[in-house]
Amino acid sequence: MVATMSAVEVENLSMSYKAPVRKSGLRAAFGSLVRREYKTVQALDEVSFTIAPGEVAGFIGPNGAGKTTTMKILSGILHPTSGAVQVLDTVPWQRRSAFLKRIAFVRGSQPVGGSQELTVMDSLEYQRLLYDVPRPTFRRTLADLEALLELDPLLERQLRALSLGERMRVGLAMALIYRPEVLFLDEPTIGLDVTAAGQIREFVREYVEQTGATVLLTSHYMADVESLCPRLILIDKGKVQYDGPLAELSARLSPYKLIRISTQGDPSPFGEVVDKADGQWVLRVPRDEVAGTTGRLLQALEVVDLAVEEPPLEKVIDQAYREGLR
Amino acid sequence: MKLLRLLAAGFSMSLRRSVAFRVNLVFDVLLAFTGLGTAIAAVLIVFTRADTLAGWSKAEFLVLIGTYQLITGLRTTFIDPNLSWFPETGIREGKLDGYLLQPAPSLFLSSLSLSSPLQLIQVVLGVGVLAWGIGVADRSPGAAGVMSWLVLVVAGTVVTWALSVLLACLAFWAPKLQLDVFYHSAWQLGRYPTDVFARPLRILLTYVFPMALIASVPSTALLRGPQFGVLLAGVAAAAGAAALAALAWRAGLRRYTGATS
Repeated sequence: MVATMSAVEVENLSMSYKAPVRKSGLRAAFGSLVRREYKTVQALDEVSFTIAPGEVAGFIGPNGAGKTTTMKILSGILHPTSGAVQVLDTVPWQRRSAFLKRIAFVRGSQPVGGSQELTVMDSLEYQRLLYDVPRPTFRRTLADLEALLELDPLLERQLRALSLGERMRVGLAMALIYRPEVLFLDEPTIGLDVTAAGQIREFVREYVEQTGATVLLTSHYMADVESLCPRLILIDKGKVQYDGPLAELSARLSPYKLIRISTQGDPSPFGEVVDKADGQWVLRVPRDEVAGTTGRLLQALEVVDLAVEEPPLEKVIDQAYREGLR
Repeated sequence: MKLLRLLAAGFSMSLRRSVAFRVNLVFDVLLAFTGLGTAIAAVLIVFTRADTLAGWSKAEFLVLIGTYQLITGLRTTFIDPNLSWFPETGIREGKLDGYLLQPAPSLFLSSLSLSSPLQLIQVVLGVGVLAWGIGVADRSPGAAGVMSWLVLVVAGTVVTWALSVLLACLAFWAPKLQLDVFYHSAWQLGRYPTDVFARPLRILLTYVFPMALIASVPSTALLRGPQFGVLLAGVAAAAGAAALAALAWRAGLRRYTGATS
């Protein structure tokens, strides 16, 4: 087989399944006993993208868009209805041991499986056996992870006694102890407080820097995506709606920029006022007029401070989810 | 080899965590004693009035109870922690997804990777009762008897595992079906020699839901001497049941993962 230059290659991936449907009411319920009606749900519809080795891509979209389904297919849990997938030049759903040892799929909703009475160290030891990690490598990696994830106080604790943030850290440690080359992270910061979420982000960044791992990450928190992913893949209703740099998406979705200005004067004739407090104004200005407007503002008013900002990503994405991309 | 190591690691970890719960330990011992005690008491009471029951002597009955207890102990130690309530824990709570990601056979991980070592108390008690039965028997078993008993106990254990797997596989087609309670009740029938049952039930327990293999057949072999045909049938049943379980698991997994081919 010819080695390709991509870590993940997805071509025309489709996944549909039949879900039984019936109208409400007793009569319909009995009717469905005799004749069952199904509706075909198209979870993924001709999805294509590739991710290069070492790339960190954000995979975003509203709930039910098909993100988790895609990740399950890429990690070999599900077979697609049609389409071709290669992860590390292997078809994932053949679930070859050699392949499974090179990938990890971590879900924020259930970061650590297995017996909850075990201690963290016991679980890591079990991973070592399961993934055939040689002892010296295991010790080195564990030392690295201890430092990165502040695992030390957790090693002797039972899994069930961990807080949500600690569970996520342990979940990552369990996955990374065998040094996977491709990481699928499904909402790794879900439910975490700002500090814990920041820790996880920082950790993923450092792991990628150290190992050159490829990461596909889903999240509903734009802070995750903004700080980790130079590239975004937006999926909605099973279709890829956007694939490219984050900044471009933002520009495409929002034809405006924000000018934040501190002044004693009244800048309202220069643009639409979005916010105003204590001599601080925020103006909304069309993207291509930003330079001109800024110049005129500086000439006309006594400006203490001025900054040009992108609109908050949360708002942009929210708009994309609700109205779609054009 | 790796599977054995994983099995040993799982067992040792479970042991470490369960000896930490001293109260549990005490209660497990008590429970095992009461369960076994009532079974033996019933037999002893019957045998104050009769010398044989359906052709079985008191010694044979004790051997039967001991064997039954032994295999039950193996089941609750190695199989139940994995497969009981599989529709709930395996499928709905997503444990199976986790196993599918791990580089080891999913059937092994799903059916044998966890254990509850304290239940081995049942095995110890079973061996005790077995020794008692052999002690009070008119003639002690020969080497051939012991060997065939051993083979049949292994066969019985394999069949037990296969039945549990098959039951769990039902969840792939009918995720709401929880037959564990039914299975555990039917299991209780294994503690009586099949000869005490009426013919239809006896046939059912021998060929369809082979509880006979769990205790009746090995016990007979131990005390009444081996029969080559029975031995062969036992081994064949074990191989067949295991193959069937593996096939059903594969088919179920194909359905679960949405594979069309």
